[in-house]
Amino acid sequence: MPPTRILNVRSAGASLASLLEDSSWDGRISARFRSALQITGPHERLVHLQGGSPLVSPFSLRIEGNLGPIIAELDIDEGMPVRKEGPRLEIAGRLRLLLEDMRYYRSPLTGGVIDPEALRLAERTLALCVRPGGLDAMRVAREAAGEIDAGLRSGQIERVVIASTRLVGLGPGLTPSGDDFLVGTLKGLSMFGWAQRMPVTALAALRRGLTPLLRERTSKVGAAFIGHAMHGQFAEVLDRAAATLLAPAEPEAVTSGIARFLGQGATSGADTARGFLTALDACLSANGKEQVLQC
Amino acid sequence: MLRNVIRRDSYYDSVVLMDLSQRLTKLPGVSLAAVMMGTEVNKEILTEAGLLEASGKEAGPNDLIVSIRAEGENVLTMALGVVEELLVQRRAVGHRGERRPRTLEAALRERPDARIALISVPGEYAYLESMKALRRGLHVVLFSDRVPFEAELALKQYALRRGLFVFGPECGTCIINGVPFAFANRVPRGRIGIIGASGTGIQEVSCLLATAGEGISQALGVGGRDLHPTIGGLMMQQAIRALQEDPETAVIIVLAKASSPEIERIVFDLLASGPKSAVVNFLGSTIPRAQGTNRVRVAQTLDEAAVAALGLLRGARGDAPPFAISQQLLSLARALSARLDPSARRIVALYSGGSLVAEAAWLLRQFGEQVTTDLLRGIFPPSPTPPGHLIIDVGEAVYTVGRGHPILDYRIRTDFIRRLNEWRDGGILLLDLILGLGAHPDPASEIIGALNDLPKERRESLVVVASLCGTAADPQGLESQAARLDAAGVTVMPSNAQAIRLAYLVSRGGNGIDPVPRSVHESS
Repeated sequence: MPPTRILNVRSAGASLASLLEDSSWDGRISARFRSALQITGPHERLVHLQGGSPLVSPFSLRIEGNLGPIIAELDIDEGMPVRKEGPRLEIAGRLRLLLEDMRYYRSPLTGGVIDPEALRLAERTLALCVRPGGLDAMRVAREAAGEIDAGLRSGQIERVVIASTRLVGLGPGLTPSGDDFLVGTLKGLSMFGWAQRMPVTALAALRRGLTPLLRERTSKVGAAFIGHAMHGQFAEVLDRAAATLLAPAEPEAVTSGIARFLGQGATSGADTARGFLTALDACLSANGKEQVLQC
Repeated sequence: MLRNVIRRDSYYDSVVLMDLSQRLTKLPGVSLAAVMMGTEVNKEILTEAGLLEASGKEAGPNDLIVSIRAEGENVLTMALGVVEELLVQRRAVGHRGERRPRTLEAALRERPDARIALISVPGEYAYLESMKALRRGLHVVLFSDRVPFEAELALKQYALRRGLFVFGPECGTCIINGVPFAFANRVPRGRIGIIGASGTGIQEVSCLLATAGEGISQALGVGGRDLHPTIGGLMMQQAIRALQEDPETAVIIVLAKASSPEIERIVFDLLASGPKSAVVNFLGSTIPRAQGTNRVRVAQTLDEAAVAALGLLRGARGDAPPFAISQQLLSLARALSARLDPSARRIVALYSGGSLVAEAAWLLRQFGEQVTTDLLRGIFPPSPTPPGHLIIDVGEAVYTVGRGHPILDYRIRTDFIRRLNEWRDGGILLLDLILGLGAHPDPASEIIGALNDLPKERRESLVVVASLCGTAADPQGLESQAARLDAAGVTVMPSNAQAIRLAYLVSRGGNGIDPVPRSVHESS
């Protein structure tokens, strides 16, 4: 048996707070990736354990450094037990994660202005991806995305909700591409939640329309992403990319922020970015295209 | 024959799933393949596509469905082997994979005899990591892109004071004492030393030399911005001095894009005052060939630089244009141009090598042609149609977002080729295919696949000219790549410059024109 390694957890998504502050629970490793682990806790709640920075999901726990070699060295595998006991997580008696010095990451309530020029730059970066996402190859997905766009522009919220339900669980990937697109759309709408009535109305309608479907219609991972997004919590990496669009638009920062985000997964980054930009564009359009828009 | 493989409650990296999907689709005999989570909507799509069998219908939203339609049992067995390899074996390998040092310090503990550090971190961290290496007395090969200008200057000034080299950035090729770094070709050791500001320039010249039976002593890529007036050719000058003292180097070749006249003069004078013969090619420079001396030649193209160096090494004059436009080339051009729609004589060049782009633009302009080298917002086909021939460097940062360098990743080029069906103006397609270490394992297949996706009528009216930068010893095999391209109707030329000359001649109908560049007239 390899010796127990002890690591400090540096940050965690705020939506994990209730789970991590519970005094004790038992879970298991439900997936092992090349450089990350997925833990399933009580009530099927997911925790994504990662190294590096920033948090790649709203339900991530982050340690410093690269987790991949540690997983290999300690031979951690699927099905192994995870025990939460006080301020630490024990994984199969091989890895101990200390939670005392951890900070919670909460998606910001974004404030600032969206510059149409920054949005154009971001769209260009996305357009230059030859096969930007999993949705592209699917007619039904393209149609649904188009419906969401049209519904947001025209303020027809019911149209947005109906099209969104068609996207849940649709497409390739561990998080189906449709789910990724919806998370991006929700992020875009959240950014305007302060300033406009339409996005607030749309967010509320989407919460009502999508919540009952998630469990049956998509994977646990996809459901977790959408579920957290509907409550305003997103991956830190998405928040950072979004922040680059706030004026003043720095071309280098926008391109590099979006480009870094596109590197998430095989298609997830691109699908999420597409949903995000669709929502922003629609909000800008509804408010007059050439205006810098307060959000 | 249809088969569904279900992996219950399984999670895989999405990159692995994408890789699996692509590999299955490319297998000969597999007509359709899909890899998806078993959500209801995905199962509906699979049913519509005829890809769902009874076992697949039982899958739930947390189960992975791999669906394969294949021609026969043998193909299916092969496909299932790929599934096994990627979903089971790869995981096992990654699980017990070898440990690699995670820091420079750890690497030096394992290899205290190391003298060179290859740095390939994101540009914003490159200074820090490079400086760590320099402080430990290591030369640096800096493969990162987007390294800030001031960081490069500071690193090079520090290295110079310590007698060290910083090779790169913006130049991904070095061969040091026979050891290739980053993108390089398998070329023999020999007596010609190359110093280049450009990676593909070094590759092109070293491959032409190898094909001619000559090897190189060292190939030193000093960085695409080293000759910028701010940096002043710090590493270029140091490299020249090093090769002038190197007993294994008999002839030095210097390759760079045109810089300021002052910097070019410094480099030229340094070579002229040294003890060895040299060839200098400042692509697009104002230094005419006539300013060359018996010992320091001025070449205007990369192939000319290779031949001039061979001449100097072997005692010939070495100043003749190496691939002069022959009657044979004119005949070939006439035959190819007969296929062209007369209204579509525009060259569309899709390049992965920055120096090769510069060479193409310069040479076509020397022929008196109008050239556009930038696409509005990177969109292809371009709208409105730009004037003259169109040369696109798909190695530019805007095209490499989210994918590898186009020497390795052909997606942007194959996509643009397929889009040629929407843009009939471009009748001549000009390509560079870089072989060697770090390059795509089979570029010919990528190009041929994209060409075959064009409608027959469009494909037949398109003249495709390509240069192959590689050697017989490269993993891809120069001859086999050339043969496959040739069989697919692509005209393969021995150098980039020669491919440009041919494309130009085809665009002019191969008739009634003087094919010799103006610069050759001027110097003769």
